[in-house]
Amino acid sequence: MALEPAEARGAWPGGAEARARFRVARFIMEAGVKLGLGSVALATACAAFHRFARAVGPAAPHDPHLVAAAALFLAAKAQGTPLRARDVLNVAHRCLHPGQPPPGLDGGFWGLRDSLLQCELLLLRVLRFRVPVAHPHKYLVQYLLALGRWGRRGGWGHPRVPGVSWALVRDGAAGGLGLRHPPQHLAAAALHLALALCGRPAPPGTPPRWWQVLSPGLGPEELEEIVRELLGLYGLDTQVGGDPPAPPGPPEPPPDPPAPEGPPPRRRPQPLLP
Amino acid sequence: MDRELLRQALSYHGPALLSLLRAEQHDNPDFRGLLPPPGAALAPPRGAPHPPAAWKERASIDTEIKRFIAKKADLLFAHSWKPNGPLADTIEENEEYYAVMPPLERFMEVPREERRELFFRDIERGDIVIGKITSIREFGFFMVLICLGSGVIREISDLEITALCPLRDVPSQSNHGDPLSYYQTGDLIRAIKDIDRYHEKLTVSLYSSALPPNLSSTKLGVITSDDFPLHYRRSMEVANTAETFEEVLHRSPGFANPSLVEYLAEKLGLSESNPPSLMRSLQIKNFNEEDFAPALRKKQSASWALKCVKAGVDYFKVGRHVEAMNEYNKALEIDPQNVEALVARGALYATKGSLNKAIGDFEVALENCPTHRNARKYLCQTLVERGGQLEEEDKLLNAESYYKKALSLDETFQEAEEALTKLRKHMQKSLEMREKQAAKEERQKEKKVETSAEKLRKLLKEEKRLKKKRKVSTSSSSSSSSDSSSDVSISSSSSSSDHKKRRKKRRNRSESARSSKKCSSRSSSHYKDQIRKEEWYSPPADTSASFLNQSFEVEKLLERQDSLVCPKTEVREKDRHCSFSRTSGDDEDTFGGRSEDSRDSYSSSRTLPSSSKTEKYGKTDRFFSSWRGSSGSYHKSDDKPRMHYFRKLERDTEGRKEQFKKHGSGQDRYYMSPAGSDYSGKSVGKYRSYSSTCLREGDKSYDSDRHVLSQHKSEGEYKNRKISYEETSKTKEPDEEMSLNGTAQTESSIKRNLPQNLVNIFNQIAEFEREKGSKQKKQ
Repeated sequence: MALEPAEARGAWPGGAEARARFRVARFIMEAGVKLGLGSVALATACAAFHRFARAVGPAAPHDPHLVAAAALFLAAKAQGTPLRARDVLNVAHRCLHPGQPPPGLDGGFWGLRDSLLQCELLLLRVLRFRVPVAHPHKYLVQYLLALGRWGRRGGWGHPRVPGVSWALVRDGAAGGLGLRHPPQHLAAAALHLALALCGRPAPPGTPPRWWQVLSPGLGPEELEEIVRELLGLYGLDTQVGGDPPAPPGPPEPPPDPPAPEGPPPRRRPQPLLP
Repeated sequence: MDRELLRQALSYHGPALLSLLRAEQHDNPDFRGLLPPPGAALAPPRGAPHPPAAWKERASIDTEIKRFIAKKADLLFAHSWKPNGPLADTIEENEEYYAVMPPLERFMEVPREERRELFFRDIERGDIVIGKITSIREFGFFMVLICLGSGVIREISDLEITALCPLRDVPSQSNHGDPLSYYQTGDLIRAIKDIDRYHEKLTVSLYSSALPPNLSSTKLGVITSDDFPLHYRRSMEVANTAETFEEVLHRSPGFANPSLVEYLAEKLGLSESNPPSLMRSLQIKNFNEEDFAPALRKKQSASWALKCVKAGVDYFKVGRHVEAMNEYNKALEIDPQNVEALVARGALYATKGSLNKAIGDFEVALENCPTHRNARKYLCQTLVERGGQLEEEDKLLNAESYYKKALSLDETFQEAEEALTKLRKHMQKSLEMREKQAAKEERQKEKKVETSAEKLRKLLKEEKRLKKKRKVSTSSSSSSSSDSSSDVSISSSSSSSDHKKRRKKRRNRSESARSSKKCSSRSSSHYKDQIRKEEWYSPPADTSASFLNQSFEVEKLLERQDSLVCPKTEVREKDRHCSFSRTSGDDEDTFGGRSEDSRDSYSSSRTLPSSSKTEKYGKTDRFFSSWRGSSGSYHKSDDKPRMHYFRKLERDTEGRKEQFKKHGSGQDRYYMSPAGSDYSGKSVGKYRSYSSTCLREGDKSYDSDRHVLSQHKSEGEYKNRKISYEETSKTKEPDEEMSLNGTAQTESSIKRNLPQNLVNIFNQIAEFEREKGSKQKKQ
């Protein structure tokens, strides 16, 4: 955990600001998946964006999606899986303008690319050049390994538990949970929640607070807080809406119409040859 | 929908979840049949685990979780989750890759009985165990298990689990004695669990044949303490330091591995390319493959390339081909498989004449997009055009294959079909022609020299008459000219070979032409030694038979080659011919100076001059090989050079007019050239090529060509004769001769003392030449 104390427990905004940030973070997740970015790099990008947003405040004049694209670009580099600026711009453009052809490689595109690189430098300065942060992912995989060995053929861990906990950790990164909780706590909490979601008891032979075997610092209060935040994140996802057609009949509240987000100064692509 | 998981969740969370699920998922058809009917008692399944006390304490969060499960049930229990296989047993214990941790129970206080129970429940046949021999009996040895080598990783060293290794499971180490004598109490043994014969009694085996395939390389038997698995060693360390799990984790070098997550996620069955998410908006199955980076990039590149192609086409339209080519190449650099760019570049290549490159581009384009209509169309056209080119180069079979290819691409392509039909006719015709020629030659061999000479004379007369008709103002009589010509031909037929020698001789001795002519045959032998170095040309007069044979052989050879795919030799000949005709004027000096030595040597050894000649041709061929390309259009445009060619030829073979007349008499007689001179063979070869070019020109131009040809022949004859006169009599050439025949200028200096009657003839010839020239100009 390389975050300074002030950052680590910073106030989490609520209301519109939280929704706006979550929307951009979700945009990072979506673009990251489409760019083929790994979970850790994606979490790094989300964390970078959240840190940036917290540092500059809600009134900052930055285009959040440009910052998000720069965060993706930077995080990919920081995790040793660099992306090409062109791909980042293409995917970001496509996510913001679904169904439209990729931007033409004209002056507008190169301008956009320049602003991406400038934004990357700004991001670096705001983050004080500390891009990679500790993530819960590696704790989670070690926990899963240890628990799996203990519980092999014991039947405590449904084969779905690793996947669910993995999904929770990933989604938690989008919510910026990594800024408020130590990664090992997040990992343990995600594992705990995953077990609960799959209707599994604690591993056999473990003490009541079995998660403290893995992460001794995690008290029950913090665990509950993390679980609440994780669940709240999914509520936010539902609130922000704008999701693609859900499977038939989930009684989700009707998604809000996608708010017209201020798209980055992107040129509309010129219609190319018929 | 995963029923098993759903039931488990329901039994865990109780009826509250059921009602919530009903409320949340009532619209979801997947859940309808799955949920138990309302009111039905939810029978707690076998040993239903009750929610731990912690959950009861915080009822509110419990409710929230239940609500969450109910909301996300469709995602949570969906089958779309990548089935995570059982935890891979084959995770290599490598400190480099990940933090190898002691078994989890090391950090928990689990009662021994529970651990023992769990161990016997989970241990399976095929698992590797490591233990220490406690006692050796005659039926085997007992060992106490220390740790496990594969499968379940458990802390068992304090459980005092004893296993028996029976004698039959101990492989003998040597040929003699008891296999058990090899082992001692206290030895560390790696063995494999064999059969669980009695409850809580283990038997193990040392035969590695029982190993599962993925562990087959493991060596069983005695080990040292260094061979203990890593987790056991870690466990021993932890036992002394009482570290927590987290502390051990942070201390492990493997935990700092940057690709730790990548490695373990794969082993745990977590997909990075298809990441799970419980957010509805991040369900990867809802993402369109088109929106992913590679697809977008491809699309963008394609449209960029298309833009370049468009710019290139614009350039092309205004004739800036270089810029257009640059644009096309740029487009193909951006998108190497861009069909439009390939087609456009192919079209540009075709326009510039690089048909092969064009065909290549079109073919690649069609490969990438087999339905591209323009690519197909252009490819067909280009193939036919290329076929036409090849046809002109006389590579008929190649041309045929191109036509066929075009037809195979587009069966309705009229042009290709026509071209193919035409080509086949042509091929047949040329084949017949060649056969005919060969047959004629055969026949010709039988005929006698006299008959051919007679024929020649007759022909010559005819031509004279023809000329007379045209020439109204000619003063000299035809009879005289014909007489003189026949005279000359007769006289020169005997002395032709020594003609040039005589010239030199004459120069030295300044004798009169007539006397020298008369004595030439004799004097040639006389002066041979003396003038060897100055000899120009000395074909033997008596080697007719041998030469005939050779010429025939050459003919045969050519024919054989022609019957192959592409008559290369013919083309070469044509080229030679062409280059000759083109350069005969300025080539004069080369011939005079350059090849004198070789000719001398040939003449001294009395070899056939034809060989020396061909050598010469070869040389010139090298100089003017650049002319090959345009040789196809030679007939239409280059009558003049051809004339030169004839002159040249005749000058070389001065004095052998007899044979020449024969050739001049018409197309049919080319191959009737009698034996008796090197020239005939020579000319056969050359005229053959000539005639074949005529054929190639097509039927319509054939007759006219022949006409022109014969004209040239006759004209050449005159020239020939004239030159011979010039040389024999050494008279001053008339002035007009200079203008007509530049090549003759070099020789004009030696012409003196020309007898009066010859002057007359000369005038006639000059007149004829002039007329000829004007006529050609008109043409």
